Amino acid sequence: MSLPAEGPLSPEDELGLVELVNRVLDKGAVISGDVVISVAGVDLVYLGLRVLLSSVESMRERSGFSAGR
Amino acid sequence: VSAAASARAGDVGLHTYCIVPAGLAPPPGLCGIDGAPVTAVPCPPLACWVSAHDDRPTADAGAVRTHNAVAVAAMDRVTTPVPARFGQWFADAPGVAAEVARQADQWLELLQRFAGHAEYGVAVARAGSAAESARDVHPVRVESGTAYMKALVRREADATRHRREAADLAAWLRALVGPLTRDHRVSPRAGTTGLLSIADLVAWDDAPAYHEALEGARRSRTELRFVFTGPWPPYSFVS
Repeated sequence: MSLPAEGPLSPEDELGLVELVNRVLDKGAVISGDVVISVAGVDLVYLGLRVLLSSVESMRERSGFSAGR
Repeated sequence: VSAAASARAGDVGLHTYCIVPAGLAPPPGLCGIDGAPVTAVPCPPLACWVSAHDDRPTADAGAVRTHNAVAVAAMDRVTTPVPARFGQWFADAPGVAAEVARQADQWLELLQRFAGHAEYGVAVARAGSAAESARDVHPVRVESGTAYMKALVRREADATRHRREAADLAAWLRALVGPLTRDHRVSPRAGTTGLLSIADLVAWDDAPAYHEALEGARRSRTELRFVFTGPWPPYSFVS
């Protein structure tokens, strides 16, 4: 049993990477009460492996929240 | 506004990795994300391992791997840390100490429960199931309302069959390894990532027998693809 290695991924390694990402980004202790994931300078509230669903700014716009609120 | 929320991009701050018993220092030379030294912030009777950065770390594959590697470095047969979820960012050490202290009883209870154990993962997919991915990503294209409704019914039937198969598989695996685990979590997966993902909390002493049972499961179900992972810090058992 091991963590997937760097480089091109076999199907098994791809599943292993999904397992890693699911744990590190979606589980574990929330110390501060909020968690923000940033990818390429964008603060995300949800990150899928293949599909980027939304960003904090987009969610604010859709829900009518101003950026400074 | 919390310390995490107030520390925005451009500020110097601390990325958190895990909570450990007070006095457990990072191994000398342990580096975190972007090669930053990992240090322990005292939060008596606990400590929190952190690294300092000019900006909030980006969640790329390397950073995610490193975040996990730091938490793994805090594991031994006696101590198992409480791993922190990626993305928690504090302005300074007092902010970390204050937030950790606020839930100290909960962290102490988890440290006691995790001691001598590690998390192991079992991911299961159908062999050759990669072709299913497209159905999850692209909308169904149809030319009439009837065809659209039929497609919806077919998709729901597929989902029901998928859930049932995952539940049966989880029960079968549970019967095989249940006595060797202290706790477990089951997460059905969408078609893109397999049938299900299982997390087991296993005592170090039981790990060899646990692995042997899983290898037996793999040999007996060649129509499935198994990926065994671990030992992990117990991310799946924090809450």
